Amino acid sequence: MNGMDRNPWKTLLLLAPGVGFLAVMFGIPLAWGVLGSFGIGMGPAKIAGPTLAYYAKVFGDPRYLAGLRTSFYYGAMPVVVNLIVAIPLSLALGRSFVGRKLFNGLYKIPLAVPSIVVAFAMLTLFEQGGFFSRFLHLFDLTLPRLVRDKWGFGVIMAVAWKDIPFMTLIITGSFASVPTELVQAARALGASPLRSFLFVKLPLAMPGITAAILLSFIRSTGSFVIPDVLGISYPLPFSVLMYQAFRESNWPLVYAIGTTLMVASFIVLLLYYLLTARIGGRKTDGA
Amino acid sequence: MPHLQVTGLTKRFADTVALHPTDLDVEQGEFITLLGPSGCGKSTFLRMLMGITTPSGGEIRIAGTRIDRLPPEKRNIAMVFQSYALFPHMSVLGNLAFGLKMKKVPKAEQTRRIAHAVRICNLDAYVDRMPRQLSGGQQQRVALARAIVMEPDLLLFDEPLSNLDAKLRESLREDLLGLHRRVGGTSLYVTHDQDEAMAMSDRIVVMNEGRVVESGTPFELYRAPRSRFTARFLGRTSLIEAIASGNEARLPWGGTAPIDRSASGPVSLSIRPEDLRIEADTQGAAAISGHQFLGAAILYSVKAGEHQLIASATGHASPLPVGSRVSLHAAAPLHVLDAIEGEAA
Ligand SMILES: Nc1ncnc2c1ncn2[C@@H]1O[C@H](COP(=O)(O)OP(=O)(O)O)[C@@H](O)[C@H]1O
Ligand SMILES: [Mg+2]
Repeated sequence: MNGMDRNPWKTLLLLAPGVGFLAVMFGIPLAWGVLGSFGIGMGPAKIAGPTLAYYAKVFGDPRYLAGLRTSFYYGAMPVVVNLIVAIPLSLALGRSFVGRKLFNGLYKIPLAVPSIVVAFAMLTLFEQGGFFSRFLHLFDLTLPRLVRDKWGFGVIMAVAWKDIPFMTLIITGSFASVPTELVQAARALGASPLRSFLFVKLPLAMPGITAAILLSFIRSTGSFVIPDVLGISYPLPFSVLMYQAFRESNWPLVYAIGTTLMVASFIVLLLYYLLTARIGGRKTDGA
Repeated sequence: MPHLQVTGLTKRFADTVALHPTDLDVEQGEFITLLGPSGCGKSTFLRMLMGITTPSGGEIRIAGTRIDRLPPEKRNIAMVFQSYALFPHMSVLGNLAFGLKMKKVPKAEQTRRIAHAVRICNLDAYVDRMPRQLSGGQQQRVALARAIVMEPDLLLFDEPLSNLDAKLRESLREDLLGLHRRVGGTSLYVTHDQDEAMAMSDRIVVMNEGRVVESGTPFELYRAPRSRFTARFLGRTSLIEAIASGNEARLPWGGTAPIDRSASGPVSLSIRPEDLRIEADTQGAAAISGHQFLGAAILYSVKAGEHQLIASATGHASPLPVGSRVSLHAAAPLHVLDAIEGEAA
């Protein structure tokens, strides 16, 4: 098709802004950060040579190990909540019902609400002495601890709330891309609505859903404001620990935590991809 | 009792009537074709039989039992979709086994049915392939095999050949028919291709604008259509107004010709190309205005007065040159159409 357009300069020119942006805004900080986490280039005042001291801290100190676990917990749980809400929501939005247009607009509102606002909204709702606790008090009931709580209920709810529109948008698109006729063919071949969903619609929408899960997981793992406001003070997730290290101007530690979080997320993604690819691969035999 | 009995089946969408109340009876073992132009409601009709479109009214019975309230999975009907609708994430084998698993057919029986379908659809070499690794014709055969393994009471085809090239389409026609005979089921086939309908069907139901126009065997509909619509839609024809008296009609360009039923007064004739014999005649009332040499036959466009006619001749002699004067003769009694209300004269 574009056999006419073989001018290499043109291609280079078109690529330049993207590649340049990536190199400057991502590549340099990444390299700087990774090197920094080993203490390299951190200035003569502190350490000169490469050291594993900061990684030793991250992997030796229970505070940080718990932090990694917490980061993943705060990353994964909202995704679960999100899926429970977003999949039915996506399916509903694929049908026609009264008020669908209005609803279609309304559910996107969280996209426009900053995390910090969500965090404080949750706080006013669920805090001891907040809206729900006063409301329940009228009936002589006490609200269980829902913010700054051990299970991270507040964090999970707030992060999920924030990400539902994002997730729903992607999943709605994935479901919509499955041809209706395939689902009808499944029905014609004797599948109940549930089975035609489980065996045809869902597996075919899976690539999109997987992408949504991963993106949402990454976003949640790195979230800072919400766990800072709504999270319990121990254990703290990596994002908050990173911020604390930053306040103490401990740059190599900041970098070591960041690098660890990034590598760990990457491993999780890889495992998840391998797992879903294998499940998908088995399904194809149909046996 | 007919095997399939449809009465008053209707479908309205928000602002259109896709199907006006329609009746249809199909006998056990018949191969019936719904033929009509695109948008006339054929797919809607099939989809209501299958249960994937909800009727606005009417009843559907198979062997006397009402099925129109049953969900598709409870009807023992199979459908071959125009798009084939193969499951892209399953191998050919997975596609063939899907319905049998859903219907909880015992494993040994599944194996037997799949082996049978694979054999008669010539799919032996492809069972482990994924649909995307197959050509259009192969995908079509998988779709067919997937329907056959269900051993349905009724097999529905929605333009299954329309996405294939002409050569393949013709060869698959025969395969399809052979299959229908071997499987011994009852088939309802939808197409907008009149050649396909003529070649395959025991009976054709002609549809237009959400209504059945008429139905009959291919021979009946071709030789003696009742409506102008059918006459024009099935094969070539010249529609001519003439004045009948008894078994003869006076033709507008002069002369008379026998007609196939006795009538008096104005009548509409449907004249097939082979009904007109042309003879080179310098005194003739008509002139050749064009010709197509088709090998087996020559198709002439003939101008007689202000009428444009089509006549055919065997391909033995070289075509008469354009402009030659000819006389026209009826090779058979000319067919008189019914005067149907609402049809433009
Ligand atoms: N889901 C639908 N919503 C609204 N109109 C429809 C729908 N499906 C079909 N129609 C209309 O119904 C008519 C018949 O369609 P269809 O049965 O697909 O025709 P055919 O298969 O003969 O080409 C068309 O006018 C089409 O636009
Ligand atoms: Mg159609």
